[in-house]
Amino acid sequence: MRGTLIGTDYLYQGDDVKILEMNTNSAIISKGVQYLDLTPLFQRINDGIITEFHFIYSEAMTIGRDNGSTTFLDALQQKCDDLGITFEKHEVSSDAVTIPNVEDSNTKFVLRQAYDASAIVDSLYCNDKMEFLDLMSGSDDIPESYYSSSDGFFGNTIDLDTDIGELEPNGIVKSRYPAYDVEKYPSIKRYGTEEELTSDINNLESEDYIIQEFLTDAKNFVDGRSVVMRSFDIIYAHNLEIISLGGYRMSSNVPMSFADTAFEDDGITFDSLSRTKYITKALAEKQKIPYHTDDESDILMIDGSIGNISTIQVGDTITSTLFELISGSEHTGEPSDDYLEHYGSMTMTTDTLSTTGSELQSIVSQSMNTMFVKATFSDNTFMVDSPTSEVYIKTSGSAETTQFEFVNKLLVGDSILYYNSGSDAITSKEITNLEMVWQEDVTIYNLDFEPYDYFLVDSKQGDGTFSIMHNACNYCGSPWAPCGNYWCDNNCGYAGCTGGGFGGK
Amino acid sequence: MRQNRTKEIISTEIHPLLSADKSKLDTIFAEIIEKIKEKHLS
Repeated sequence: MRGTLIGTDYLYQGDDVKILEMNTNSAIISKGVQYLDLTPLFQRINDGIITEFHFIYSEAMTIGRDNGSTTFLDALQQKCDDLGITFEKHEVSSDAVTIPNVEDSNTKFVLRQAYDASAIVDSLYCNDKMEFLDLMSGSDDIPESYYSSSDGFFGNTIDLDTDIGELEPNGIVKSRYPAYDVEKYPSIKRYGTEEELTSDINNLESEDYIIQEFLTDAKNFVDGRSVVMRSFDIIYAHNLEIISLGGYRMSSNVPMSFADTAFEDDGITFDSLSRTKYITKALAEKQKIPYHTDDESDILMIDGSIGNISTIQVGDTITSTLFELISGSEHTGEPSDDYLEHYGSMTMTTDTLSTTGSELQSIVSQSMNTMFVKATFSDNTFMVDSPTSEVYIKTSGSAETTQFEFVNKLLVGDSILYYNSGSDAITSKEITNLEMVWQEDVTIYNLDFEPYDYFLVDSKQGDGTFSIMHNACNYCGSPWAPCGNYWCDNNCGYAGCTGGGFGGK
Repeated sequence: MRQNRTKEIISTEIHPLLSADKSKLDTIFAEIIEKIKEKHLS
């Protein structure tokens, strides 16, 4: 028996709930798994006939974006173990459009959480919003919409509501298909008149875009953030029976109070920051590259000079630090099975510290508007850095323990460790406050230095100190860390990734 | 010992569905599937 897991997003409008979209490769955020109910699924499976559970999944959608665990997959496996059912995983890459063939039989339940272009539900109703709107045409369960395409789709049911606050959205422009410019779409609108809506309709980027009413209701906000309801259901067997797993509400990355609403020059389109308050996609989904530094970064070169990130060239040699860790020693150039759990100490770092050269192998950049993290130190200086930058720190609450950590996971009480190029000493600054800051038109970079992964970024305190940063992994080409850890490690399941943060990563 | 951290500064917050929400979503999803069945299985 075959089943397909479908994630569907909904919003309230008054007492009505309306569908935004549905997907077969819908992400399940790890911390949301606790709100799903697997009981109906396993009540159906535990019939004494099914002995094998096959799970076909896109790893990028199964592993939580919020931490490194495979919570949903683990929950399925545990249930199977409890019932004595054999559990078998079939992983596909995040951009796969086909799935491996698992032969069906009465003794198998084959669950798919991945896109399959050969399946009607996927290719028509998940991949194509116009197909879905056409399917649901006449239903009160979809937002009022305008769409028109040369392949025969047309709808225009928008009854513009201008009887709302001047800063409240009443329209949204979306792409028909999943591949679109995430910096621009969905584009959120506040139309003041019918003429403005008509003008937008006439000036859509192409016929592959639709305009819908923006669904407004107080129930679409929790703790000052906009939220979307996401349910998960399994359709199975030839007659498309349904197993409901429940769902959760997921919020935007920033609260509504983060910034005042402002518009682009047209006075209709919400500007980039204002739009962010309504977008519930995970931050990393916006990024095309797993960046770890930005155009403000100056790097210590091997000759002691400072090279700006925007001018450094492939083949240039930078200064890299070497020091031993208590666990995980990948800086030596040898793959390390235990880097995932790596940590060190202040004493060991200081006692074993030396420097060497490492060569830039590749550099990738992307310009974007995005959220960064501002860390303020006890001396009132601060650093602003990208959330996926990985820096060497002394951990909060410890006088000795050190580790590399992502800026997005820093804690108040952590100390950023600095290398002093004049004295070769290690100094530290304790973080006293952490906050989000919006960055306009920032250029972000992904660098790959080999054979040593550490590079030194000028603290710009004028004292010759440099923070110690680590290569990010982009081997899998994913826009976020599908392994859940941002860095290369041996648990990365992508075909061809050997883990360890070495050559080619 | 490494501190393995799950909390992030920039992060999506997750909340449970209200029980009234769940029944509404179940009803609407069933309508979607019914329409797909009408179009492709009938």
